[in-house]
Amino acid sequence: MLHEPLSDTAHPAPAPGLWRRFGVWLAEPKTLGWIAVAVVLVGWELVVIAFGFNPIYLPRPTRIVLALIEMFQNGGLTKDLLATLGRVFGGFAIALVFGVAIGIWMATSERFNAIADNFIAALYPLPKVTLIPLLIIWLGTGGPFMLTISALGAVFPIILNTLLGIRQCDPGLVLAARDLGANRRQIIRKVLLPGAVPSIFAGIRLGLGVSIILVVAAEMVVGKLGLGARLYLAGQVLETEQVFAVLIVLATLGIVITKTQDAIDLWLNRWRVV
Amino acid sequence: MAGPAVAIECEGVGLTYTAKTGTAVNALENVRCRFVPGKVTAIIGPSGCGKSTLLQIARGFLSPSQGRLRYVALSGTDAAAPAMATVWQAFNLFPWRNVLDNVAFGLELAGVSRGEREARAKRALAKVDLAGFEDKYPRQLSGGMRQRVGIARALVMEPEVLLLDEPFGALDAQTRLVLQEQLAQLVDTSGTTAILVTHSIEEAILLGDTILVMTARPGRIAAEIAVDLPRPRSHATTHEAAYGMLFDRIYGLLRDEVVRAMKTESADT
Repeated sequence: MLHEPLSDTAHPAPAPGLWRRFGVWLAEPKTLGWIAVAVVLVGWELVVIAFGFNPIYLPRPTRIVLALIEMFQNGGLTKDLLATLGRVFGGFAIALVFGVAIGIWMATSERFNAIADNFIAALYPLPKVTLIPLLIIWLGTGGPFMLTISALGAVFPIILNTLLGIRQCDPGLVLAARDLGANRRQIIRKVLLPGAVPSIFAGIRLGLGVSIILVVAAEMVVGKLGLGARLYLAGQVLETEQVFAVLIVLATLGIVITKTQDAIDLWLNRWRVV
Repeated sequence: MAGPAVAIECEGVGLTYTAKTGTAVNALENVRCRFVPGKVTAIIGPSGCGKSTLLQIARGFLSPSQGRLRYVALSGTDAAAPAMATVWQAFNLFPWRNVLDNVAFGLELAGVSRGEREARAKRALAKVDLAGFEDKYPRQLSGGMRQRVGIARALVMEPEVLLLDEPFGALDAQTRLVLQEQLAQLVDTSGTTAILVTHSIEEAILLGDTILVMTARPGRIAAEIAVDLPRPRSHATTHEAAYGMLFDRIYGLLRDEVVRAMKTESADT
């Protein structure tokens, strides 16, 4: 903190009073961030009341929160949330297993790399939402379709980052492992794979984000169950409060996932040298 | 160390490789040398003379393009490759493994049970004065401590031949002095065969029984010098007259080669 070296240590300040402490707390950048959020929400509420906006266009924050609570209590939103989570993480788990396996295979076999490379070059840049119609024709609109679209979103970043992580592995570590008697399999399992973990995790971060987008988009198209379906249906009947409520759930989901990933990232620091 | 005494012999070993630019590079040329069991052979030479390449050939990781490498038993017949372990200039510790698991890595690969390999790794760590650091990760250690982990990781394998590839090259001068003495002691007491690649004349004299002085690229053996200073050697050895004479002789051989290496390096770039 910048202000600390400036405080006079020779004359310790008297024990800070309650107001002083409150003042310090108020000046914290973090507190300020939350105050800003509160100001925007209160301002929004007051502006809507003052100008009498039609709630179809812009409902008040308090009404949105009430709608959210109502949807969780009686509207079956929990079921939608669980359906979406199941699809996202189910498909993501499939993508993780296949993505890491394919990435390792590509990194360790020049032939397989040559084969897989062209397919990935064609499929990776393709916006995966464009595959939704084709996948519905092939798989219908049920569970297999949802898991496939979710896995498709996550698998490419995971493949490419696994490949990258292994290629960037310090050749000195491979040499050291060979020197200590490691065979090819042991080098892959005990050196290349753990060495690639930070990079694989970066792929997971990207992949999970794409999975969420695709599952919600697919649910909007299918319109039966899930947060995306809920969002789309609410919009169709101009239930704007419910639209906002679903957006809040999705945003919260995003925050929880990001914070969890940050925590894992911190733990992964031990992987990094120096 | 266990196992029959096996010498490593280079018979006219040469290595030519094609550089990225497409030109053929002569790294080593007609190298004849013998690494005697139970002795420490130091290889010294200017940068880029192929010292480390020669070490990799002796290890069996690189095949010579000319000549051949032999493992020879005392009887003079060909033998199987002796067990070897390397200490690296860049340490090459696994950053995701703690100190104990780094040292136990080789035993883990060989399928030694967890209890036994941890006990042996702890003994090896005690030998390099690192008892109590088992749970630390490499990034939490200083350079000198990291290299002691590297030494313990090689020693725990009880190699017949210890390969030291500029083991103290990445360390500061003071740490280097202390570790040189410690390593000299470890090598003395274990009686292992060792091949030491180094830039430091002092290190070569303190640790070596024989010193191979190499020429600038293409690397050849310019001289083979026996070091008959009494052991144990320490920093005090460097004050002896015999040390000074040896140092001057090696420096005299190296000086012209270093200058030549500097010239070819600047011509390359």
